[in-house]
Amino acid sequence: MADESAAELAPSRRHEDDRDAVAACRGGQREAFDRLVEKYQRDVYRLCYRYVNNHQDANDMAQEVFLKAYRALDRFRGDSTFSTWLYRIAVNTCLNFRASRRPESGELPEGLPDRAQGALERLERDERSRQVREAVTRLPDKQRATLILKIYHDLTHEEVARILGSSVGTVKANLFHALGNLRKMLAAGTGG
Amino acid sequence: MVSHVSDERLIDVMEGSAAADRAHVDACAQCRARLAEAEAGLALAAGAEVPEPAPLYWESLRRQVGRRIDEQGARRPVFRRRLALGPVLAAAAVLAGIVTLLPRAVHHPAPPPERHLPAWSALPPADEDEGLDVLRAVAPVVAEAAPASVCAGVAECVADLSDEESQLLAERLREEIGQGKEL
Repeated sequence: MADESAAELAPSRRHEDDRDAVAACRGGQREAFDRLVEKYQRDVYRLCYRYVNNHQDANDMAQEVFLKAYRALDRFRGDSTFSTWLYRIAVNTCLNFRASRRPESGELPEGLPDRAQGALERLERDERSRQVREAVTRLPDKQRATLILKIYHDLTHEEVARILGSSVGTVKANLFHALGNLRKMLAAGTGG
Repeated sequence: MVSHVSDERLIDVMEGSAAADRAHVDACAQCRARLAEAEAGLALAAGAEVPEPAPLYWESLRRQVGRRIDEQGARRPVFRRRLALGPVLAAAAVLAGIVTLLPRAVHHPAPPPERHLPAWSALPPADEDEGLDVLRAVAPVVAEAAPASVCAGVAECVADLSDEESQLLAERLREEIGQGKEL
């Protein structure tokens, strides 16, 4: 996963840590699962947000993803990495989620706008971001999942293929169509 | 017939990993246009960040997940569940036999009495409760019914009353009103 905290560790070490945590969970140590949540919550939340484009639904979905993962820990055989497995659960949860279609709340920015950048410029950029996010939610399921995992979570084509259960060729073709459709939607002003 | 670069290989070209196809794209207006379209889509997509939630949100998400796990019960390992299935099935079979063999006249215990919530439980929150002004007006009567040493304020006194006490208080108030006292 593309989380900055997770990225600090070498991949093999990271996966080893995850396997240890899963083993500890199976042994009854609930706090080991808390560590996994802490490690992956940003990635899961952001993935969910890309699907629904609002905080409330993304929060509900992220919780659901972790609950499903917790209940299914015994079925995690370690054939794939824990993050790939978790992403698979997250994508399935997103696809099955009946979004309540809450309008995107005008969430306030974390800090005051950078004066040098200019408030107007920032507003325009935020609006453009919103339109793109909205357009992404309107892509067909496979294209949307592929684009989100590849572009926003920086996964390889192989990883995306494993998560979505498809071939690398299909992933690339879906990505190509997703990018083309996104471009067309935004050019036509149907991004939202 | 001209053979154009496939969609998936155009992704490789975009990522700079297909030199042979690149040469075709450079020479083919149609493939160049397709590639340009995908690159424009990528540029648009790349700039769309997810709004960052407040820093405290992550802690809250973790807690919510933990609480829901606690509420919904512990995970049961598949292995243990399978092992436990045998005795459970045996017990179920024995139980089914007992139920079948038992005479029909078995006494079924009455369901537990329905629990009535006290009347005050339906009250709206204090800041939305228009009846609070009336409550303040009847404070003297309430204070008489429930000594001041027992509760700090009118609301506390009323909230702690049992069904029976609520009923008594209501009767007392009705009497007071009946005697023409203004509340």
